[in-house]
Amino acid sequence: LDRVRWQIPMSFASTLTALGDTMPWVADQLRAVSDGAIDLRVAEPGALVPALSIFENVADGNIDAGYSWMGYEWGTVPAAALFGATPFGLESVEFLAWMTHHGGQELLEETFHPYNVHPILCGTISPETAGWFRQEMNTVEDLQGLRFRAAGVGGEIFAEFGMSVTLLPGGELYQALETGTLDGTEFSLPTVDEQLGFYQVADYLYLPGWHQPSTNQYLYVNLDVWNGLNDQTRAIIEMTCMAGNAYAIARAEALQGAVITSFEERGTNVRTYSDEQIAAFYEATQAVMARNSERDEMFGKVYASMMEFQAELRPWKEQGYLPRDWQSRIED
Amino acid sequence: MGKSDIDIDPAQVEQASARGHALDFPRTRLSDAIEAVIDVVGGVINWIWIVLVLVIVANVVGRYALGVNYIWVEEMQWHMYAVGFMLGIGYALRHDAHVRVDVVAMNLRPRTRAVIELLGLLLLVAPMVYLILLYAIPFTEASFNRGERSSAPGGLANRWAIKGVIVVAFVYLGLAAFARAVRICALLFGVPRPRASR
Amino acid sequence: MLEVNEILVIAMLVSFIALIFTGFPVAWALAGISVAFSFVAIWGFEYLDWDTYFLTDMRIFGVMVQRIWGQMSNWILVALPMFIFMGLMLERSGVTEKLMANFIQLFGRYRGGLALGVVVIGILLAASTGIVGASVVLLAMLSMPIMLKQGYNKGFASGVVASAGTLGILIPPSIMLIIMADQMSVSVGNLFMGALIPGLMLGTFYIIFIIVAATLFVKLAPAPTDLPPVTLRLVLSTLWAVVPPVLLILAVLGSIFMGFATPTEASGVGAFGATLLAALNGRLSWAVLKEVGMKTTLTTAFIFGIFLGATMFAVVMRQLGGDEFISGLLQGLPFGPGGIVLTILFIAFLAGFFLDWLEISLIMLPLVTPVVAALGFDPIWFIVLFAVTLQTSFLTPPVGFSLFYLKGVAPKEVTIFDIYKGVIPFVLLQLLAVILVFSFPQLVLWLPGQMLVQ
Ligand code: NA
Ligand code: NA
Repeated sequence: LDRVRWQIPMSFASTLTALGDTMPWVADQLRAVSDGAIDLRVAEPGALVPALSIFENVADGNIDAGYSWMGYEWGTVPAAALFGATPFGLESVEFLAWMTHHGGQELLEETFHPYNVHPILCGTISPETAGWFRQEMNTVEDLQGLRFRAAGVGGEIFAEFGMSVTLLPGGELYQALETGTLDGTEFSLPTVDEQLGFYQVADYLYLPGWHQPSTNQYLYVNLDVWNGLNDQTRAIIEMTCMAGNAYAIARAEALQGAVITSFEERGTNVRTYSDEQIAAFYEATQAVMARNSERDEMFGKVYASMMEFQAELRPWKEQGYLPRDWQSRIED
Repeated sequence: MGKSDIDIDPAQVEQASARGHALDFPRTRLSDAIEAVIDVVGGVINWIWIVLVLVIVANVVGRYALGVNYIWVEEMQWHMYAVGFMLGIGYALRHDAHVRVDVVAMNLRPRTRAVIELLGLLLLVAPMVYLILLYAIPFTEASFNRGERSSAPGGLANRWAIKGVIVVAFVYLGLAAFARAVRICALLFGVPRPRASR
Repeated sequence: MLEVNEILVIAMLVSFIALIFTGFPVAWALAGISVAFSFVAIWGFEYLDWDTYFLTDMRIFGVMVQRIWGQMSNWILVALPMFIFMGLMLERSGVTEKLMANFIQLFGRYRGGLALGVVVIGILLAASTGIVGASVVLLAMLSMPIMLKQGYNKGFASGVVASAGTLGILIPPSIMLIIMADQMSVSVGNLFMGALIPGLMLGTFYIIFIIVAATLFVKLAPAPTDLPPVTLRLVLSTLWAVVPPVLLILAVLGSIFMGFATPTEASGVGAFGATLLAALNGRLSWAVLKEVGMKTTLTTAFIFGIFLGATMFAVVMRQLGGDEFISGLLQGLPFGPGGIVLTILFIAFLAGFFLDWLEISLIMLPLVTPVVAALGFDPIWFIVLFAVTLQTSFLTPPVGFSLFYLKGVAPKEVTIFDIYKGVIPFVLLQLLAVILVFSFPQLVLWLPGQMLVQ
């Protein structure tokens, strides 16, 4: 077993549920299973390197490893947007299935090894909320001209509806919403949105999170560093991250129901987008995806693979499970 | 009522704001040449703030009065701020505007202070500038090779250009420090020869 | 027994303090010490088998470049040069001269009246901008000769001017609060709101002190004998002089608090407004624009020079395990959580005798932030408490910037010892404010809390 001692800068604070506290959990488990030989120390956003520069620091070899949501990398690696979160794409369990059994891992390595980075999926979580707004969004025309915060490829889709999209960091969103600098924002899971206090400054919460059916975070390891580890060490890290995926799914799923109820109790109007709105979003998504697939070869390849799997899975997904709203259907 | 206005002498304000600790070293041909370049660049930087004021005001008017908002205009704001303060650091070294704690130092002989200043420039500032440049150049190159752009839709492309400002600013800072070191050498060793006129 | 990395942390702090006392610029001392200790640590790790925590190779310099980039891309700080520009332009705009001329005639007739006028103008200036140097210089030049001519005690007059001019760094908008908000990752707007009441409270303390002192000690601030009577016209003229700064305050603070603009937008609009005021008063010219531009560059640059030095210093400290070492020391103190906060404030107060707010904030805040967060204190409350404490750094000898600026422009007969003596009561009032804010967190938290009610 190698002695591994890495600092792991994160792009989210360790206080944020599932989003930020998965990696600290993984680090604790690694210390436990390796009897302290694999010692990862997480660093809060900005404490070591800027929160949104983790990937390039790992790539350049300034740091051995780091932890981030992959969508932040799409300015550099367009396909990263898909591995981070794909609008109308794969849900957490489906994403794991694609990664492990449908060539996802190979495509991930093919995308990132040229940048000298080895990413390990280490925390996939439930859908995000689709947006907090100060006003009602009855039709997609209501989105026109609004100032909205969104990250990744979702941002480009929102821009299709005439929204002006910025990428503010999480800590500034509350104030921006409060002061009207933003008309709306998406950020993360309902529990995380609650931690950031959006319900105090925006009256309308929209679901479902079509733009991000799963949110996938990775432990980025510098490829040279990774290649320098022995098989046992690599296996321990990979297995613990896989456990981290199970932990993150469990933790993310466990907490969202109660918090949605509590939003309603605190006066938030929790709304779901109508079928027409969803259809419009889907149409815009297809246009944006086609455009990006044309622009970047790897993006096209990864997207095609994901969509192929989604199509293959469809008969099982639609017939093998009870419909998500079976309780409401029976009650009616 | 009597006089409605009290006259204020800008020169006196200027004198008060200039810190008492400023160290003056003789000019030389070499340092004059370098400082001329530094001042030309600095003269441009001084106007960047006025342009920045106008860009922000235009952005505010556009957003609140006309309902338009361009991400690239917002990004231009921090690009201008970054260029301004990064190059300003070298400009401030040339004008000796960096903060000093001179409670003890003001009792030292001018020659002693000059020696300290020279040692500091050679042993602390020079290695720092060299090392930052050593790592800032590949940092900029990597951004260029990756074709990095803003990750906001509608944001600016060519991020290597703004990252490259680190390289430019530290070269600029190195030049300012070098000119200062030359002037201190002129004081301490008479080499290069100080210019008579001041 | 101390570990090697802990010894390095201590040696680094000590070398920094020793180096700045040689008179070498603080920014370069911070950056240079960081580079030098990186070399020492890397060398010790390679050849002497030292445990240097995470500082083991040259990659630390790559991280430093990244942190410089982090400052460049930190758009929250765009507001900083804009507020500096605004302050410098306001200094040139003639607004303060008009205020002072009117206040002298209106309040100058009462005992201590001139001093009151200075504090009120100080508060108005503070709420419209916040460049301490500019405020002190302006207030001193406009009021010191008149106060001395009227027989004011030299120390008393100096204390009033220095402390009133320093209010600008606490009362929002404030470059100090912007920097602290960035360091502690809290919203600038909420921090501004949190600091407003403590700032105004401190100004009120000054006013009460002046009234009480001038009443008790007749010779301190005597009334003149030969002023013309108050006319309606004088009252109106005074009110009219107050309009421009109040408009500027409404434009800047009002737009942030009421939710029309971000701090960056407000700072740009404020800078534009100050320029308009200068133009309206016939003070705007190319020469003034050029001068304000140059001073903005130099002021911004010396702040960011220290910023870059401090960010390098912080990352080397961190990689040497300094954060954990310091937080271990603080948390091992035999006091409760409140006692730990008071210890931090006391260290900041002591440091304030030699360093100014910028170095103290940039070096101390990254080290104490995790401790304060772990103790469960509200960050807004802690920052405001820290900011009120750092007010004293401007006034405590030997290194107090308000004192230096004042000495630079005060009439020749005012000695530095007059100034030292004169600021003592004001430093005590600042400490009283620290104790009150510590004991009653609602002084800070009430206003931001009100703004949340929809
Ligand atoms: Na202020
Ligand atoms: Na002091």
